[in-house]
Amino acid sequence: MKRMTKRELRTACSLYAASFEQALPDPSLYAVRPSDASFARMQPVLENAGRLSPGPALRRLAAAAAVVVICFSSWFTADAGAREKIITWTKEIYENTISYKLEGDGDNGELYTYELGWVPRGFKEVRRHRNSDFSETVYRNEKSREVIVFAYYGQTEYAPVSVISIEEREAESGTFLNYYYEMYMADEHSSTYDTIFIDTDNEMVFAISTNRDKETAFKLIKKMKRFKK
Amino acid sequence: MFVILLSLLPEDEQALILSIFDRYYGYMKKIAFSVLGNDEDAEDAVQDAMEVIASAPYKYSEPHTKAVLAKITIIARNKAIDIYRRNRRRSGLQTGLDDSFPDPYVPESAGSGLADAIGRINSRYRDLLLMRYHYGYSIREIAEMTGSTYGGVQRALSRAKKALAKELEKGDDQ
Repeated sequence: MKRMTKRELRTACSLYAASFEQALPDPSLYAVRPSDASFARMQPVLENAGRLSPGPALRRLAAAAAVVVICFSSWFTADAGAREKIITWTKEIYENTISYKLEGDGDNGELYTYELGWVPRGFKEVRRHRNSDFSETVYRNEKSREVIVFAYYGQTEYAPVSVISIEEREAESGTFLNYYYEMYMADEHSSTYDTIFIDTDNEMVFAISTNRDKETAFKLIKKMKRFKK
Repeated sequence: MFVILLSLLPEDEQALILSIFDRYYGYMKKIAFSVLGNDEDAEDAVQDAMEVIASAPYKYSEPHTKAVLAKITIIARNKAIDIYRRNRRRSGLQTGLDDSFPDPYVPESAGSGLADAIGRINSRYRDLLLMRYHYGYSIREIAEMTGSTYGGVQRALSRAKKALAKELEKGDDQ
């Protein structure tokens, strides 16, 4: 029997999906207004939006596979002042993804904004999104088609979460300057080195994605500049 | 690459889910009806499909796209099949993830030997492969979608890959 690699399988599924999507009918041909009873049945679904549905099978799964939560707060409370802060960095490990979130008293005051003080030659900012909850800037080198994504957030009412696909990816962690970091290496599943830097002093998460190399991620965070709001 | 989820505001999520419900209700019901053959069960399948969609609304944030239409097609079909299987079990008849159901939307050609072979395997296996390897659903999510267990989906995926390899071999022989 023929053996196929995961990459071959993914490529074939993508090709098939493209044709499948074209073969599907226009859903507006079947447009029917849901009855009031149907809308009424949607109410509990709406109330639980964003949460996993509470069926017994799923509850079982959630217990088995859902999350491992690691509280970073205890790792970073070197001084007595920090020890008093009620902050918890949580890292939730799912089957194929990992997410990082700051949960705390939200008392960091959002005092600073951050900018990359250096990007490799040839990179230009192509997109910037910033609001009170998080900031994301994308740089691109048009010639080499490489990208750098720089994002950061603190603890806010809507608690942003970084999600990284970790499927079979090699990772390393450690400390760099004042940050604890976790880096997921580029491989056949991901073209980028994805690194989370956690700054407990200022209660911030910095996320850097680059398809250059791991050293670039460290240099970017090292040269990052902070501005008072 | 990172995905930064600035958690959608609850109102935004609700608006998104309602717009999907409004846009796809009739379509989902038609798909469910083609499996179940009765209106009441088809209505249940639509509600079940909406629960799956509402559990991760960000996956459907562009409801007008073909990709979302494809995901909704697969979810509605699998929720209908789940109800069909439950009904069969109640009647003392066994069914499983290996059962095939008619799929009216199989493209004639998908552009490569392996992709075309996907179109020829059991429709449930095909859905599993697409959800896992193209649309990026986790095994846990697929288990929820198909009314199966984590292990059940893992085993079915393994069988789906074997069926695909066999189908490919068959194609080469012809």
